[in-house]
Amino acid sequence: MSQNYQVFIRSTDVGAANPVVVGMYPETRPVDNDTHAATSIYMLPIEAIVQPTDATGYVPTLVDNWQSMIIASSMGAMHVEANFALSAQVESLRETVEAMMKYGTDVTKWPPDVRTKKNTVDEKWKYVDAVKETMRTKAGSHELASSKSWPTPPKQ
Amino acid sequence: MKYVQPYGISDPNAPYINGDPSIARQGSIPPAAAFEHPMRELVNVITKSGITPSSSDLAQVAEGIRSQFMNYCVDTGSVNTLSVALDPPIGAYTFGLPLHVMVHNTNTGAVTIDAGAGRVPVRKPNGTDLAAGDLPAFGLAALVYDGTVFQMINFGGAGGGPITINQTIPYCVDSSTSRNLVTANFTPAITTLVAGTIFMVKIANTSNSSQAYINVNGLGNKPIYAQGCNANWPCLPGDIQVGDVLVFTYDGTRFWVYANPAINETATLYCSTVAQIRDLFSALGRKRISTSGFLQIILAAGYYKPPYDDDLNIVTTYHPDANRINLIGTMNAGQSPPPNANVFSRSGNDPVHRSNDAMYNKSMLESRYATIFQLDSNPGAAIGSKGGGAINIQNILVEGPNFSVIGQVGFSARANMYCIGCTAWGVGDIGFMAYGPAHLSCAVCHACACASRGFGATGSAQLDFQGGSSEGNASHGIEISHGARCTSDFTESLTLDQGLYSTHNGGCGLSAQSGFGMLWWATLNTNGGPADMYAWNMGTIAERHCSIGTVSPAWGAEGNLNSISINYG
Repeated sequence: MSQNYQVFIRSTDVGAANPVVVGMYPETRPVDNDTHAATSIYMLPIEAIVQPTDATGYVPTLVDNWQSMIIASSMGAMHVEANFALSAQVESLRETVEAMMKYGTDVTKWPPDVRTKKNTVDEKWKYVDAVKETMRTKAGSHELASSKSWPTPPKQ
Repeated sequence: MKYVQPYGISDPNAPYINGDPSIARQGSIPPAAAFEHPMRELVNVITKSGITPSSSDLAQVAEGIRSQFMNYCVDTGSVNTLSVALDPPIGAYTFGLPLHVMVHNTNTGAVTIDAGAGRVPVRKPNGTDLAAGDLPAFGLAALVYDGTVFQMINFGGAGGGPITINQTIPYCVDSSTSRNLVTANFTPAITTLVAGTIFMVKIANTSNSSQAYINVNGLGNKPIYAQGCNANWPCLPGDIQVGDVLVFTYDGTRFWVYANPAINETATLYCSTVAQIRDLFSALGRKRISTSGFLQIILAAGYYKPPYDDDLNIVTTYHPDANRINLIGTMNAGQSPPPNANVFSRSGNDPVHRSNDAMYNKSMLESRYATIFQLDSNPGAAIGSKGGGAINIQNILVEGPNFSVIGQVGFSARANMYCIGCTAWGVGDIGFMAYGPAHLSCAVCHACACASRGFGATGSAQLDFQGGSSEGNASHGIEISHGARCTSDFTESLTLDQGLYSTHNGGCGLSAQSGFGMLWWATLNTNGGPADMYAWNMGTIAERHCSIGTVSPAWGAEGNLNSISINYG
């Protein structure tokens, strides 16, 4: 079974054929996005990495066409986790259920502050849906390497 | 002696008969001579054999004949002219006449002998004349007359067996008070030296530190060569030491000795060509360097260039006691090796800046170093250590072609090596390289503008730094790979200025791929690679008291395949 890695490359190298790997961590290891400055993060299988040789300047690089190897589901999960963490998702569901039990299913009858909070959470759920749609429609596409291809996160 | 017939009988051959009264026959009457003559003959045999006649010993005739004393004679003649007198004297030589002659003088050529019946030649059994020395003085020659000449039947040449001669070799005690000169005054004096002259001298006053000479009885200085030497190094320090008794053999031009195998004091030798250095390490194969000895090899100012030897080095160092050898280059007048990275131009890590810096740095280095090894466009190394101890290499600059030549190395440690104040510039691949299991220590050494890595260690090798720098190399400043490790300035009491610098390289300052890099007091920044300090594939990087720009994986984190970075603060 192929192992997947969170791969950091310089943001300026995103369009390069064989960008140098600045950092590389196992998929399951928590790593802050700002661990390496001015980098972009991609979830890639080990096969996307070229071991260091004299031809690579003795540093690991990415293979040709590495963009097509980006793991869309993991990348999507990473985007979602970064903007609407799983714990926040559960908390929003709990708060919604409590509001329904307390104020009924007609949202228009909810107090304004609770209704505002519900609207904010709904924006995040729309973002999750949009990410899922991107994952579905652009899997295997080079477009996944560009941050512009992913939905704009809702304001926090 | 004649036969004596019975008394009164005229027939000289008449037999003796016994008397018989039964038939009235009268017996023969023996005359007196019949008793006297045989007794005198027998007594002569006894006395001429050197035996005193005795009535109590009736085997004296047998003893006399067995002794062969009558055939023994002492030479009283001159060289090559034997003269002997026998008792009774010889009136004529007869076939098979044996003589045992005590020779008085060693012959110098053909020999004759007069044993009383005239002078006749002495020859070998094959009929040829004797050669000089065939008849040594006081030797016994066994001669047998063959009707014409006496043959020497105990000849030791082709016709005989081996001869053992106990000969005392001339001996004297050295009286020189000058180092590298042996004065040998023999008594009686040796008046001429010819090829094959051999003698022994006890070295009394001095041990040699370089080429040695011997003066024999004022005949002039002759060079001393050690068995196993070569043309560039006929004699090495310590070949002739106080108290040694050496056998000297002259070949017509020089004296040869089986030299003392040890160097027991500090000695200095000078080389100015690659051939001299190679021949020196070859000649040193017959020497050990004791704990009281040390050898300094000073390389003259100049360029030392390929061709490479069988180990693909310009110079390969090997000696069991290499840790007691210093190979030292010459600095320009008033100059010293770069003290730290600050004397190097370091304007950037991209190819253009590195190229510009390289030109300035080459000029700066050539203004300091006078001993320069120059690599060409082929794989190989300038100086390679093959063992056994850690040789000390000092004050040497290696210049490469300033373009990529895979497999080209400045200082190659395939066995332990200790570099002090050395620099590699523009080498086609790696400036300093340690191959497992070698240990390469670099004190204030620098690698600059190499086509890939400045310093490298691989395959269980160890690389140590005390100060020094690596800058402007196309790839990593330092690469530790495949089980190798490196450390630097492992102490608490330094400053960053005194420590190692690895900056402005095209790759990382330090890359540890399946290796371990632990740096103290190091400055790693402004490198063009993915990080200034980089661990990969189970590599480990660690630092203490360092100044490091970027690191990957992040401090305290685990990257790919258990690669980790540790910050000790």
